[in-house]
Amino acid sequence: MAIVVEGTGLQKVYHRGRRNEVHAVNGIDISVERGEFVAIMGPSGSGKSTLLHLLGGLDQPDAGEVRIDGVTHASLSRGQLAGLRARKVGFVFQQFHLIPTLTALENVMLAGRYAGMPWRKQRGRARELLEQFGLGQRTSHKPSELSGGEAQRVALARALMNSPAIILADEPTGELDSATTREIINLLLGLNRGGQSLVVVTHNPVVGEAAHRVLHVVDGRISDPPPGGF
Amino acid sequence: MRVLEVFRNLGRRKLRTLLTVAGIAVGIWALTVMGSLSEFMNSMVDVQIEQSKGQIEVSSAYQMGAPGLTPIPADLRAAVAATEGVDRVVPFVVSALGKPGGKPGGDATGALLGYPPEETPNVVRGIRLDSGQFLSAGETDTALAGNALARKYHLKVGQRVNFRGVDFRIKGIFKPYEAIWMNGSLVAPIDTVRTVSSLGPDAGNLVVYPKSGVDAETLATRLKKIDPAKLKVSSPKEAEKDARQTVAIFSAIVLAGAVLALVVGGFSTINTMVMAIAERSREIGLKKALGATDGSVLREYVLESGAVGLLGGAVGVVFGVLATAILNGIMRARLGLAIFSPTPRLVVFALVFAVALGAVAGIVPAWRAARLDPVRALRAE
Repeated sequence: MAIVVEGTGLQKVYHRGRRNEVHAVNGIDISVERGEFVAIMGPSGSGKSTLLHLLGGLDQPDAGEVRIDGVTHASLSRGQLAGLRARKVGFVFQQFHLIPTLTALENVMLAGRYAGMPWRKQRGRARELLEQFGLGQRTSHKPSELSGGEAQRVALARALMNSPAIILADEPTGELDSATTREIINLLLGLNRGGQSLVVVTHNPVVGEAAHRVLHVVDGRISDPPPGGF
Repeated sequence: MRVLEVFRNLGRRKLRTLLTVAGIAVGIWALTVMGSLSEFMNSMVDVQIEQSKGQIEVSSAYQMGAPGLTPIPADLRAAVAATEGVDRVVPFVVSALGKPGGKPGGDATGALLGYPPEETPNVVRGIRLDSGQFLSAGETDTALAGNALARKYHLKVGQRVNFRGVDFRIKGIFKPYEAIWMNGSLVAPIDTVRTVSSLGPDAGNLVVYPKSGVDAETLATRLKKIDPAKLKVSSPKEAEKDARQTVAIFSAIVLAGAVLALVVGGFSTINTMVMAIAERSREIGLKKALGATDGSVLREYVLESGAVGLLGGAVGVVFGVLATAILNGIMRARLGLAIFSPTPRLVVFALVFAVALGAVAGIVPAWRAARLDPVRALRAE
């Protein structure tokens, strides 16, 4: 199968040369095939989120390189990398990160704007996604008027706005109760069944069980899973 | 939609936005009011230039104080009159008017102008009488009152009024005139003004009118050759330059205050934008994650600070125009003339300036926002 995201020899060091130097990612090789659902698990501070940021082009590795759909991040300017993020990557975050002054519909449309999608098309696509996620009646609601599950579904719709090559989700169920967590996992599984590639950073074993593959990250490296789990 | 978003963002911190808008509004208000005064001064200079078009003023090179107080020797006056191309020479003096009853003081805009009586229709080009008649040759105690002066002291045609110890009979009252000094002045026979001012018969500057077809600048050059050490000749172009320079200096002083107020408004906008960006770091991080370029983040915040400028500008201009209307009402009652001209070009300039000020004030904070590291921004509290 075709590889959608690939990272080779990835390293990311914070506070380099200082006493508090941290090797957040320390020589990780990772590849995700098209249509694959990969879960990244590990203890807090192990470098999971940093790895996700590197894969999504949100951060730059100190060593190694990342390719999305065959395009190497390092070969791109800041502007081109932003364009790549807009078209190829859909981010989902633990805290949803919806813009409080925008409605649910406008929050989803925002991703289309940065990808250069015409306004009418943005609106049509955003409506379609919100309806698909059962939020057809909530399009004009502000984030403060949405439940946690609804807010995360809006965030998921936003991530899908530009039909990305991959969705990178950073603990998408971290702030949700168990029922809503199940709801979001089902949505992710549904998307994956539709061919959507996913990389999900999680502490939740249920997400791990649902994934095709689980990568365990400890101290910035991929390692064997611990016997008792994280 | 983006415009709506900008205003929604401004609405997040209503009080802060309101105070920032107020800061700019005060500056723009000052700019509008002071600029209106400057516009009026400019229009007055235009009037002055228009009225002295084709005329050459000759004065003593040693002139001190008001025009005409320093005498020009008779031989030089004769030489001026005899110069080729000269049609006629009209002397005039300017003296203090004081208040009725011979008291000192009076309106700073008013003066006692002495002209040959028969030349009074030509005191100012295009000037007309509201009532009465111009002065005639041989008259000594008649006078023409400026419109504001007549209003101020309730002067009527035929009435006698004492200025500087002379019981002048008001023979005519001028219509309100664009040149402010004309409205507060009293025009009287030159010999009478010379006498009350203890000036000799040689006192008086000269207005030289060229013959038809003679270029005033060429004639001025000729007049300058008579006695450059004793005569100062001001050609129409030189007079225009001097007048414009005077107004430019005045305008610069007047506008400096307004600009200072605007600088304060600009700093307050910078502060607001820095605060807004600090508060919205996570949103900026998110937008970058969604694919926003540095340029689009920069544009977004510059647009927002420009909108602050626009709001401040609109409020400032509205209140500025209102203030000039009120002030003009007061001035009309006192001087018979509106001295604030909030011209359309001033209004447009004030608005454009406000938007530009807001946008420029927002550039540095917006640039910082655009360059934010998205990962750090997303983690911001």
